[in-house]
Amino acid sequence: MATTTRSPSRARTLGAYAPMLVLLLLAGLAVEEGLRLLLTIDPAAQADMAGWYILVLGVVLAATTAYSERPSVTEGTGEDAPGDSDDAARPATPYRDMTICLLLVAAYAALLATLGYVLAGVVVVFVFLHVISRYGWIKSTVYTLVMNAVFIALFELSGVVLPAGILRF
Amino acid sequence: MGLSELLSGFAEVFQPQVLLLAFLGCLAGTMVGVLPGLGPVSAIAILFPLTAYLGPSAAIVVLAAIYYGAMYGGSTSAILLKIPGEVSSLPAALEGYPMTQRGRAGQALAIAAGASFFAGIVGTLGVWLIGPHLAGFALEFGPPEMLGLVLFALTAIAGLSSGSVVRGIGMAVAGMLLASVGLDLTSSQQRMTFGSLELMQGLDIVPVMIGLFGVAEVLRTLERGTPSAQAAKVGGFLPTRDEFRRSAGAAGRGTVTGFLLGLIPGMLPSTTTFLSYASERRRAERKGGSRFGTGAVEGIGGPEAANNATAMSGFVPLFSLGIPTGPTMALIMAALMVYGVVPGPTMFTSDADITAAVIASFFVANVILLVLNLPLAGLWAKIANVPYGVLGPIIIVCCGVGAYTARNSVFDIVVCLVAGVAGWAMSKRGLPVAPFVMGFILGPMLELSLRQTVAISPASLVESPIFLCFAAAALVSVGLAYRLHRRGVEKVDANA
Amino acid sequence: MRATALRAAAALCAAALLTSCAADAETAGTYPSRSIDYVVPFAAGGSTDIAARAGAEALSDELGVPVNVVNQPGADQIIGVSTVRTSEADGYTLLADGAGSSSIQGLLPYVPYDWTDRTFVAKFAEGPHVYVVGGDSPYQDFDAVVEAARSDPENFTVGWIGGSSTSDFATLQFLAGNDIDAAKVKRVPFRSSGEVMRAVAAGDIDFGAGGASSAFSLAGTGKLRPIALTGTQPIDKLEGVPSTAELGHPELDMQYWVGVSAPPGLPRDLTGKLADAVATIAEDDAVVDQLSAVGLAPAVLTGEELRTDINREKDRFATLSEQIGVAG
Repeated sequence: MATTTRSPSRARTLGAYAPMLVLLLLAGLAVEEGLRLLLTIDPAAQADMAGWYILVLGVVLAATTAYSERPSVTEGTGEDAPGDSDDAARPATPYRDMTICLLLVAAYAALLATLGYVLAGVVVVFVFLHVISRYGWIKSTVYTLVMNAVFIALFELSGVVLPAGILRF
Repeated sequence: MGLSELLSGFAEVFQPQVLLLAFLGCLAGTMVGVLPGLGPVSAIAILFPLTAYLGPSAAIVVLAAIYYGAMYGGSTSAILLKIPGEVSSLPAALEGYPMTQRGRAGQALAIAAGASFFAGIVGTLGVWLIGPHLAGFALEFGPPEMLGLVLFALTAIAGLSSGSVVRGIGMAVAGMLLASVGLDLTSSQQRMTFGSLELMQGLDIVPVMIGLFGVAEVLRTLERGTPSAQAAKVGGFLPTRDEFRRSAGAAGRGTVTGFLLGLIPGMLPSTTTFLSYASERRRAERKGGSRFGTGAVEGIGGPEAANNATAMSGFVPLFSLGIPTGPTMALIMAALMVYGVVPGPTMFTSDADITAAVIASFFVANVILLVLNLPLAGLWAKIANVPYGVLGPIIIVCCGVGAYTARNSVFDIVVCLVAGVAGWAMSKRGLPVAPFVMGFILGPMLELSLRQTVAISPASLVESPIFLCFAAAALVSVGLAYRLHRRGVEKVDANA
Repeated sequence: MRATALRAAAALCAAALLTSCAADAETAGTYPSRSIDYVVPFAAGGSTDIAARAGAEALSDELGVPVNVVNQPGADQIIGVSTVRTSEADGYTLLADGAGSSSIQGLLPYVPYDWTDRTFVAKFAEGPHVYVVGGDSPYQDFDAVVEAARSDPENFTVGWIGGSSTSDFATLQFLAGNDIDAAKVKRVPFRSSGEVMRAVAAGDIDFGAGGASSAFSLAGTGKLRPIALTGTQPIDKLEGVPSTAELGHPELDMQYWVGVSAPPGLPRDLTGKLADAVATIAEDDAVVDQLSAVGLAPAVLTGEELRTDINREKDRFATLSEQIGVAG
């Protein structure tokens, strides 16, 4: 977890409880929405089944979560992925890279709507190459241009309509 | 569907343009499949947007080609580089890589490709022969029967595809709840939207899948690093007489068990692959002189055949019942619906031309891959060695575009992002992803048929023998899975 | 290091902005000079989508620029409509409008905008709904169904697809027009009118309504019995099915339509030019053929007439929905 400000043990405790808390939150929301639909909506709208459905699911989720997601139960159930062998080159700063990667997906969403898909692609690819892959300026720029040229060609050829943004003609 | 319809399906596929598309699909699928960590689901998720504007039958042909290509590609990188693209290629890495080290990479590849090809063709024949009959049976299904079927599929998946039944059910329910976000079916009331306009449109399966299988995989790779390996020389392809005999038998057994087990929801290709591996190993040990672990050809032929046979037989319930058996089928189902083809009992009648073209394209894709795979094996190995620093940005942009194009919605990219984090966290904590995805796609079906049943006549539930059978099977599957789990059968399986 | 990257990006953006500004401030003389997005608030494959694609193709020929169909399904058309509404009113983002995305929207409690707050450009196609019963059902004609439903509404099941589709309002109109208590009738949920038709054919439910094209494939098999078409026009592919006017119920006239709308404040001359173009393509033979394949026929209405028409439609929907508490 990227909670570097906390002490490691506290961060680990928080991480251990996180899945349970998220699932319980989801269950709670479902129960609340189910009750709302059951109690506050005009019966003529015939929405009661919609309420019962998520109410029951919420209760089931809360029960299974309480039964099997307590950290004392889940200890050591994490999977080791098949490629996780010793010859893997361990990245130096995995959590920094992952955070930036997520920011890039968010940035792609934001830029797609405003600047258009071409510039969004250029920005995301360049930042990934330069910051996460740590390629030099020239290598990053050349790769960015080549990849985006291929993207544009592919999207135009296959007829995918993406927001043109400010580069529309 | 008779032979004449199938032949007209072939006529559809044998147009130069469609053949070219199938060829490109195989190529692209293999390319993605050989990359570390990217299996068939990710390949379809990432390449999905490029097919969106081809028109239904061509697009489905391309998707099928990508699906197959990714499976073949996964075995290639497993054998040559010991990098299994996904879990179901693990046996190929365990037994194929030792052969590569002994300089027999070509033979290992040929056995894997041959077994996959055989299973693919037999499986396709199975879909063609069984599908229409099952569909004819399912055409009589009303809401209560559908409710029973979905209920059984959900419990089977929750029980079979994960270690713990309770966790499986929990994840399936979580998926069902997230799928219920949006406007209610009868009353158009908002549910779980909390006033958000974006949530009102509900969560779409495509961005969720791209997040769970595309973005999450990038995160995992960034966290773990990529295994580095040197490509070995491929060499000749012709196996010895003995190798052929032993692997052909294993491939036959793998095909039959893989196909039959694959008809059951929740039997993922990875599961049947390991079952085949375990049973071949047991068989070899009983006979004595087992070469398992050091390059046993049965360990390549059997699991590879089981993998492809299961992948094929998943199409039977998808096409004839409208029920996906695993995440890959769920994504293919979503793709079909984007093109306006609704998988279900009527697919063999009302969309018979498209269905025939799809089945014909399965045959064609298998042939293309057999021809394509072996000569290009060296090239695929080189592609698998492309540094992740270059692949990463390509995958991220494809994920973004794929999430966006499903509904032309920027919000869906955000959904994909959140699903990516969730997918990473789930694998980190050992929470099973498959029941979650199945809950997500089967949940709305369950709710729909449940509410139809209640609105029409709740009493029809006890009057429908088919519903009662399914309900009993659902209970049995939960009980059985729970007991098996308690006895720790997984350990027995892994050691057997 | 990153600051330089940002500066470079900013410079790139500035350059791009300059080029796009030059294209602003268009008049009917120069419009359109680039591709137009035609937003369809449904998933691909439905009859509105097919009609909109036919229209887009012809419109593209007529205007000389590409017209891209962009499907933005979800949330009872609210997503697609709000995308168009918040776009620039420059004529390059248009909406495939229809009763479902305009007048019915006025009724939903959670629509985040005023439904009249858009520029209605033109309507170009219109089609009837079809009322169906099962081939094996005990009710063989219109009057028999009405009789059965009126006497025992609580055991009368009808297909229902969300409550904000014209098909549902056609059902409501049928119930209201024949004095059947709509609040008591069992509404059985389905995802599309195609599924409603299949359920009626299988005998799962008693009655269904949908766009005429939804009954095409099953009507020929004898398992589905279309009992009436709303309005006055017959449909070739449903030969022999009487219209409600012929049956003596001219008030059951629910139609669904497809047209073109634009964000609020589209300049008058652009609206005029677009409306003329839409009116021209509605006469195009290829378009007429494609429309009739989905049970629609050309029906052009523009300007003030269109606005009045939609307003009248809205009042009618409001009266109908009061019966079942849909309007909030």
